[in-house]
Amino acid sequence: MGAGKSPSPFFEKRIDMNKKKNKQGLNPLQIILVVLGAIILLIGLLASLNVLSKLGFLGRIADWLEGANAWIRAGIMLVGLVMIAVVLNTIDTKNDNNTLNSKLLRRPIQRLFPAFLLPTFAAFCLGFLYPFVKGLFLSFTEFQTTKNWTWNGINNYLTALKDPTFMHSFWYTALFAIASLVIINVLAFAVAYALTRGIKGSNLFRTVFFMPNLIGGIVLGYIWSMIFDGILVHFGTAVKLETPFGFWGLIILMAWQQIGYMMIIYIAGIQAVPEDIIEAAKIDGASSWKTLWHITIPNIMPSITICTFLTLTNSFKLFDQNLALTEGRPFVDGVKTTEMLALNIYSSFYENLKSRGPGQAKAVIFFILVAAISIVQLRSTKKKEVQQ
Amino acid sequence: MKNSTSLKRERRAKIALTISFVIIAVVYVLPILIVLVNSFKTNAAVNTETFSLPNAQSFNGLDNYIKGMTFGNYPFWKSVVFSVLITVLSTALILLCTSMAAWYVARVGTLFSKIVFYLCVFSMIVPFQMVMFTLARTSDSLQLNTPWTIPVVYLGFGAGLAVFMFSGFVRSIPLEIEEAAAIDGCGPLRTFFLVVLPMLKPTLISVGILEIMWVWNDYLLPYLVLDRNEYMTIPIHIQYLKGSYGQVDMGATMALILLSIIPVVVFYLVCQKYIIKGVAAGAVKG
Repeated sequence: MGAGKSPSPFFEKRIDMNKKKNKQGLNPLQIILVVLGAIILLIGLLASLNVLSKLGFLGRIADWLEGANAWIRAGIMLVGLVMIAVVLNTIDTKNDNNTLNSKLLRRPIQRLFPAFLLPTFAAFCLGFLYPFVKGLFLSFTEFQTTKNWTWNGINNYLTALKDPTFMHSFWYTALFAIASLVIINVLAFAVAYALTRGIKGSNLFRTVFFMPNLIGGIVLGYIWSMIFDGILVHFGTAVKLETPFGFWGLIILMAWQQIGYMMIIYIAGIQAVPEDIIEAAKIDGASSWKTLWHITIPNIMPSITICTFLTLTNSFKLFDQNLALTEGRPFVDGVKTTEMLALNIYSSFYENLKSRGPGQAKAVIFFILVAAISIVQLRSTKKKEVQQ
Repeated sequence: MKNSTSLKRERRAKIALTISFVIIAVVYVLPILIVLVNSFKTNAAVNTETFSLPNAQSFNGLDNYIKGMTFGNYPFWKSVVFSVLITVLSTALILLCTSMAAWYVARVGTLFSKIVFYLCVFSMIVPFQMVMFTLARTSDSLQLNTPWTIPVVYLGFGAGLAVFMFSGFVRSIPLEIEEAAAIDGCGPLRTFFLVVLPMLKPTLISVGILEIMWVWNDYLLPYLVLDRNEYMTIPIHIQYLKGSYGQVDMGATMALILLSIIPVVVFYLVCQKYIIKGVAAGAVKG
């Protein structure tokens, strides 16, 4: 589609000139487009946050915009975004070897930007970017519905940090994360190590161990609550009645679900350890225990890092299993003793309409926490890659 | 001599290991077998004799299944239909849109495609609770609360990982192939659909499996986004059954749990190779 033009020297030259122009900066038309796009985006955003009419300008239009169908505001924001995007899409960045450097091949693709990139980008804005920005904004306000809010500064954050249920769920989650991290990784590694010893039917075992991973959290929670209660009923108690049962029950559940997953990653790591190193160690007289400790484990450090962080983030984000198994029960002095962070945030949104502001602040704190873990993970895996 | 005894010992150790693994594997599938057994028992028997086989008194035949399918004011088969519909539509939409976007992002090095790429990476580290409330409100006011429109929400929230995985793979494809196609007269659309997409097949399968597992098992997003009076998915349905305290029929619930596991297990056994590979790929990259 348009790529059929024959590459003439003249054509190349013209494009080169364009490139130079781009380097000097945007042309006036592009600047106007960006500024206009930014203004339109801002108007749409302010109208969506119901700020526009409070600011007083645009008068009736502002009132109409805020009362209109949500699609109109979404459309306005998208128009603004697309105007900015079209301009940004003409600015070349430093290209690596993987991008098409030949303008001749790239232009036709670039012209089809609305078909290739726009649908995903629009959905991404609706399903992620806008809710994220709005969530961040609302965490500084007091609100029950997103339409009616009053500015509250950092009070929500203070309330959240003073909230005993939130602090309890934080420490509970941290403890759970550490316990499940150790248990799941040790067991998964042991299974992976044993299954790479060349025993019969190891593929079948792998299949079996991995299977629970595909079952959803809600269903998992109810399967295990039936099993635990089936045992505990003979002792006159239940999972939802005692905190330790809820804790260890959830650990067993998570171990059952995740050992198979981590096992797959460990098996891949162990199989990638060069055979000759292990053989050399054997010839030198190292026992299998020593080979494991000094050769295999140091060589699979990347797998260990990945699995450690996966179990850590999985525990922090845990919601479905927690909801299905204990729902935070038992309650002691108004604190749900087995409630984890994600469930605590959920409850502050949907159990008490007045705690939605602090709930959103909790969500932001939660986001920062999870993001910090992920960034540390990225850093450490990258470092390991460089070392090897 | 010494060598042969040590070989013997090694063989014996291997046999012991195999046997112990057989036992562990049986214990591992036990929870599902318990669900299977209990789905044939009466409600009272599930609570008190969870681990015994059904006897003449506690055996309930297929009653639990029949009851479960029609239990409450929302029949289970409807939830199954909506679960399948949402999973298929969302996965198809995500695969099509994000593979196109990823190709564009990987091949066209403009400032905008860089920004989109980094936004996608950023979205991968944001937990759902951060956008939970506002996303539910937004999709509600945009009327994205039906099974036919919720794929758009899934595309938006799931785009990050998919674009990231696809563009990582596109970068490993040699450029020369696309250049050759373009020189032979292929436009961008034909280059993408006839040349790039077939090469993306392994990643399409990996991402597809990740999305299917995510959407099929997802509880909170559809629970908050969908119009709950009209549409339910399987996880929502099971949570709804169990949430109604006092009147929970454990036998019927077990029957439904089993019914919801069967498609997953069949799906797993059929494309096990791809699932394990796909999941491992998602873990290493995400």
